[in-house]
Amino acid sequence: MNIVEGESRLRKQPQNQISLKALTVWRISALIGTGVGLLIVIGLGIGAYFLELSYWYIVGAAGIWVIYSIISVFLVPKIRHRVWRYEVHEHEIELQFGLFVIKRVLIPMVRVQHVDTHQGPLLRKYKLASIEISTAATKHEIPALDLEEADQLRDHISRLARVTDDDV
Amino acid sequence: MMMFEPKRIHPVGMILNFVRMIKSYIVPAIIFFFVSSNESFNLYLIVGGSLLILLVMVISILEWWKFTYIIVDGELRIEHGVFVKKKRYIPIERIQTTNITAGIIQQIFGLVKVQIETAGSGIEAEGSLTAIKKQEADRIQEEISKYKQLSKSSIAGSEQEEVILDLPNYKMTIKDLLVAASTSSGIGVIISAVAAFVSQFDEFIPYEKIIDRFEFLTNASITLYAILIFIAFFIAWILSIIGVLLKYAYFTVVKGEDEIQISRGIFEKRQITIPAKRIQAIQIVQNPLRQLLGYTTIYIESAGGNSGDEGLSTILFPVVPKKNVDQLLSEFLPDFKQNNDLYRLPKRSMLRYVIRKVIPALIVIIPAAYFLQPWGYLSVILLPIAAWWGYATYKDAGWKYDGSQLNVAFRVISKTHVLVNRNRLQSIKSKTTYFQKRVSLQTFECTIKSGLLGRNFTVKDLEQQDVERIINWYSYEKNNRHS
Repeated sequence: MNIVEGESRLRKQPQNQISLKALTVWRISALIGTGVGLLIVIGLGIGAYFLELSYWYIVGAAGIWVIYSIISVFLVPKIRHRVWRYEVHEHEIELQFGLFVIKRVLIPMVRVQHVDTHQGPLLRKYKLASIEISTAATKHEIPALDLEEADQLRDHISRLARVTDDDV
Repeated sequence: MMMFEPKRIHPVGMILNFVRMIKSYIVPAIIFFFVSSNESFNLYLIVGGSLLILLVMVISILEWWKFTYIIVDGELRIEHGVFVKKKRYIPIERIQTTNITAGIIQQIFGLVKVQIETAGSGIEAEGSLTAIKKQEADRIQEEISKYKQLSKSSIAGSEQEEVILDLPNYKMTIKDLLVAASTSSGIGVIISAVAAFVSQFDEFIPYEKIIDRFEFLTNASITLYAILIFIAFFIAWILSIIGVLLKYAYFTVVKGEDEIQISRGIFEKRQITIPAKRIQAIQIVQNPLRQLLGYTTIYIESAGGNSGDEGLSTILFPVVPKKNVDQLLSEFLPDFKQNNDLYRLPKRSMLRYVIRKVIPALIVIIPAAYFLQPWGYLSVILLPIAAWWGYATYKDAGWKYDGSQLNVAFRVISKTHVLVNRNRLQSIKSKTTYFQKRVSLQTFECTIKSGLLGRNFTVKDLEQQDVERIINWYSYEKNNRHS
């Protein structure tokens, strides 16, 4: 199988991690999600009470809710944060992210059409911002960077992208 | 040669306006008709309807009257609007494609419809002249290309006239047309369309009565059912053949200096011009039937515009013998060269590909065999089919980069071979699941621009090192650049 030519040296992982505060933000938004879940469980409980169904249904639903909450509030943000890496080189941007499936993306600077930063209410509260990098056909996001860092990085990428010019 | 006066389109435009407006009212009108038909027709309905039609008529005449166009100062200027005056100025250098089509109404009067498209995002064409004379259309095209030539600061401006004669062109032969028609995958579409249609009319058609009439069928033998199903399939097949024949009749491809012109169709004549520099990738596709007969279809993926009704990819050659592909590509698209000597996937990926198809089959088979006792067992034949399908998807997957060109091959149902140049790849991506990591395999995905959106091509379970090779090939971060 190893007749293939070409360099197969493993590339280094991208260097930079996103802000630790991202963990808090993700946990809060997961909490909101579990809050909605809790309402549903309560709704089911009331329904079961009036329909005189076995209490085991509620116990089951509550159990699922507890497991889901623990995973989505504690585990998922932690893994996501640990996996998330990015690095901006002179000629390309490298991203790594994912939960069960680790994705690595390579975006050449020549393909970058524009970069912008944006923040929702949660991110704003923690002085964070996300960067969105758009090519002609794709959109990529680096979530939750410190606001200043995000602004700098945005300007940096936009400058690099402007230098290298090529047709679409 | 310049047009100094704003022009109107041909008066047939009035009819077209009228038809278009009536079309948009027809569904509500039918619904209204059905809802109110319980009571007897009353006078108000007729009067109201006639008034509405009269109004539509007046508006379509006014619309035609107010619609003018002119090419001046390197711009196509369109002014229209009955109540609100709208002006649209399209700079000629922004014009990407001009499509010339002729619907039935246009053909009756010997006219054509010209659609002018820029790279702008929009589903509608930016400028549309619905009915003009053919000479006028030619003149507009000429004007546009002349202006473009001029603004390109004529490098070799004088000698185009002679070149046109020996440009490569392709005409679809009758034989190829018949092959295309009889192997089209449109059969499935038609069957499902018929099924959908029938299920829609459940309530209107008195099925029970029909079933009563055909009661002998319930007692009839399996053979009779089989024959009926066979006949239904045959009719669907014939319909799809006719559809494809109409669609691809007179299929012609002409290669211009920096564009490719495709025209086709009997009733609805379509002409599409694709500038060479908008071409992002080539797809060479073989559906199983055509693969068996040694034929392939070639698609162009191009950026911007909204031409063609095949969605985002445009058919370049509907069916051509596989052995002609290399030659046709070198003639029409010299930038693209198919490499058939691809690197395949490692042996350990095979099982994963097979399992991927077998598991869904099992999900169907197990309940079917359990619940539908005697006949359910028949579903077991799905198992070898799924396994074989999985094996085929494994066998046909592959990759290779060749200079600045990436070859990616995979199979969903049809065997697909994608050719894309490095500078047309918008981004690339590798994906690793936990299970893939354990056996050091990775999924590779690349994105190109197609139409207004992105389009992904994915090959699963490549050797991790091979993905790394492709990434290194693609990476712009090395000191030397390819090509």
